[in-house]
Amino acid sequence: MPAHLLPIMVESSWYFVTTQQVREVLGAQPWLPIPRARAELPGVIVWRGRAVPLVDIARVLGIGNGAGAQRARTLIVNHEQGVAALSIDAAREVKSVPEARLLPMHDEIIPYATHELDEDGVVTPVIDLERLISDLHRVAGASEDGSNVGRAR
Amino acid sequence: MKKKDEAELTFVVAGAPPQALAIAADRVRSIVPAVAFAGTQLDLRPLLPAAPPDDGAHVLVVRRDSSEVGLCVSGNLRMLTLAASSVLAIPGLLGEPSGLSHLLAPQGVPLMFVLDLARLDETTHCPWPTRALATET
Repeated sequence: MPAHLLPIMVESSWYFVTTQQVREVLGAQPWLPIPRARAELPGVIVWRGRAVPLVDIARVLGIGNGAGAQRARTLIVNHEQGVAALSIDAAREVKSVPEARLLPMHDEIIPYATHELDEDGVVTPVIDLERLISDLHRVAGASEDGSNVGRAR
Repeated sequence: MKKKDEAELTFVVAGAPPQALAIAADRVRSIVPAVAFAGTQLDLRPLLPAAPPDDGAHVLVVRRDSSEVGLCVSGNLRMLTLAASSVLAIPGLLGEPSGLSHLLAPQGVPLMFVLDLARLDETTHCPWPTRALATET
């Protein structure tokens, strides 16, 4: 069975994400910073009449150069808890490769990179978006446990 | 163009975008100078741009359970009325930690956030600090 991968560029490096979760690739979107927000979730954009959290994926991957979350492309992705927007520099045409060609990553140098694809010696990591976004939710939930546990709903 | 008969919502806005805060106008009972309000004040000024030194703080008095609480803000205040379709709920992932409930986005452009007044009822974990009147001049 083939795996469908979208190549995305963040800070001059290429990564793959599986297309299963990708809804749309947009240009740069106007976003609003949230006061006191986590650096990984600096703000919000509007997509199809919804407020969608913006993920600074460069910072999550540990490669942010402090340029901020505004980039040339915005990747809209589905995840278990809803929709998120990822700020990226570029995207290319989707690649379909046999799943067997995706090899487990040797180490955990790149966060959330679970597999890699070797194309003529050029190795590109595959980012597990579902786990990445779940972790952001989990961390946000953990901080809520600490600060908002008494909230009456 | 606005749809006919579309519901509208009005907010009191403190500050200027992008560092502005909107508060549902129907919850605001009065607006008074900060020094004139003797009740509990929650200090929202850290969320707003610095006001000119000669621009005094104001308090937006809103009801909290059985009592009233003052939301201390700085800078100019104005009213803003928007179509309900421009008022978008913020995902809990973002809104709950920040104490914000909605995003105002006329024509799909994010403009400012709305304060989550439901959080006022929290006593021990209210997201905004209580303003210590005795230490300020």
